[in-house]
Amino acid sequence: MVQQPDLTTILGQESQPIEFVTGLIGLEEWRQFVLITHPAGEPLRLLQSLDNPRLSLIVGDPRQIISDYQASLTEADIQKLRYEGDPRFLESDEPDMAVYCILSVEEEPFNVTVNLLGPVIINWKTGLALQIVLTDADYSSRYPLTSSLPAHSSSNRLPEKEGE
Amino acid sequence: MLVLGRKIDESFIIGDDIIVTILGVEGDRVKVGIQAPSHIRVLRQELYDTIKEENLRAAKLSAQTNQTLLPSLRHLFQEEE
Repeated sequence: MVQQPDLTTILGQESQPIEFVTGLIGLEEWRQFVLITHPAGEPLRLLQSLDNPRLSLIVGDPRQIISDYQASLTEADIQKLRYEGDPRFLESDEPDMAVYCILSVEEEPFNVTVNLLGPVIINWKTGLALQIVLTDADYSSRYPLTSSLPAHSSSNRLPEKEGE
Repeated sequence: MLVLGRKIDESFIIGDDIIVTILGVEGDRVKVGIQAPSHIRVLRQELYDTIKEENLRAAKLSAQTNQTLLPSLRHLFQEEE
């Protein structure tokens, strides 16, 4: 088996630490994460656990897929995130608030879906994050991103890390 | 499983700070009010299961995926024309 490259060396820029107040659903054991960004991967990012190096999730801003994507926070969510702005933060384009959805990537056969139903909300001001479940929206937890597209081409792969 | 019979507007308490109140019954639907501290997650079971399953699947797949694929995935991640 080929050794996987160290994600942080390949994927560059790490965000400030993010703490999931109640954990990702089903993954509550791990609360501390960072968001890793690399220009070649934009707009996708990696949500990397700080406690478990094997736990990383590929995420992207759902508004890239659905421009009028809606996710509103409940009173309880607002408290958990210690957020003080507009609950409809997506519409007001709150700079401190980010929304990401998690991708599921099957390689063989190539099949990529994104979970629009359970977005991750990050309050960068407090460093607190939350996975919410949209109870009043009609979004899919497996929204397909690959329909008729051919499998990835190797030319699109990330270039090898240059020597230091 | 503990089974409790409750009338409308009656409550029960879980632990010290979770209060569940029966607000109404219409046919086969029961309306329940829940007061719980903000760190307690309250979700419909089927939604919880859906998201949990998808999180675990995404984490498992991601652990198997070569992350150098990210640049090829990025092209999928844009609104259809």
